[in-house]
Amino acid sequence: MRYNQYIVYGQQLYKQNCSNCHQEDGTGLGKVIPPLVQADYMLNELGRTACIIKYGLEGEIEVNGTDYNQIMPAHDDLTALEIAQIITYIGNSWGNEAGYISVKETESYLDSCRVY
Amino acid sequence: MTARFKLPFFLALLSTLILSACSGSQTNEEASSSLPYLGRHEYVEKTVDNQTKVDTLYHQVADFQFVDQDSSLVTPSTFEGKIYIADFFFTSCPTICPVMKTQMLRVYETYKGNEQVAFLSHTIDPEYDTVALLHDYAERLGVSSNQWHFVTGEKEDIYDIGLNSYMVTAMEDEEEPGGFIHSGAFILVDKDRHIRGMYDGTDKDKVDLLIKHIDMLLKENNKNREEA
Repeated sequence: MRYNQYIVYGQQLYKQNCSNCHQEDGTGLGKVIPPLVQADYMLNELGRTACIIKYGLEGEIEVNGTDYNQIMPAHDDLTALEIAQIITYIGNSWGNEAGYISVKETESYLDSCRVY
Repeated sequence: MTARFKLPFFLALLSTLILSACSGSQTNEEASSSLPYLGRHEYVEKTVDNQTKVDTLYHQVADFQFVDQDSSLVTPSTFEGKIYIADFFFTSCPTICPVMKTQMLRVYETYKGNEQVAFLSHTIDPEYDTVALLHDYAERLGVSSNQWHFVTGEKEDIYDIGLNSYMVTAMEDEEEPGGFIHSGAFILVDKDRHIRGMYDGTDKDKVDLLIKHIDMLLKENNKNREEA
């Protein structure tokens, strides 16, 4: 039940905050902006994904064997609940199967990266 | 912006709106109709053989000189005999740019290798978007520099040509995410540097219409060529 709710709200938040860059279908933009579809970088470490959404990212990363080097802006205004909903949505769309990610889990992820 | 500039700009915008409203109704009879000329028209009286004639001068893109991702000079002669599509963006843009570039890529793929169609993307953040950065960006998009020019230049020149030639907004604004405000428009320019259409580059349906209109312009060009 909560999972379905997260998916619905997560999709809305994704459209507002993420889809301009990562595109509505999660395919990204060439080698400029990485895809989220079956993206190892995202799926292997969802905690890191939560931190990147909240605090942004700078520097080179490798996603599915391709290097990307584009600044991702921080989304400091998003709450832990909203980030949990976004990760649940992107973690379970386009063939991704990460399952339900709770707000508690997300809070502890965010606590761990607050230092930087 | 001084008050002196406001009125003509408003008129240009108004005529754009009116003309685009007209072109909207044209879609039913697309095959037979031709694309409008956007911007302010000027009428010039001429006397030929004692007869007074009125010539219409259409709004035209002014002369420009920018540098592209290969450090090549880009001027109107780069687009001689070609249709081109212009837009304004910056590589570090966190808002509408990526979605615009996705749509522009779709147009590019449609006319890839067609020597009559070119693309001109102006950075509005020339201090950050150096030639090297634009080169990297174009390469990461996987596009050919012969057909798609990513240009930089003097900031004033870029803002000026945006406002006065292409009739779009492109300027710095601290309030905006990324520090710039810019229109998401794709501007369709014919081989005589007249603006023949403006399309919301973030809207897939509008970009579909742009592709249709490029086809119409190509037909117009080929017809003129045969007649000449």
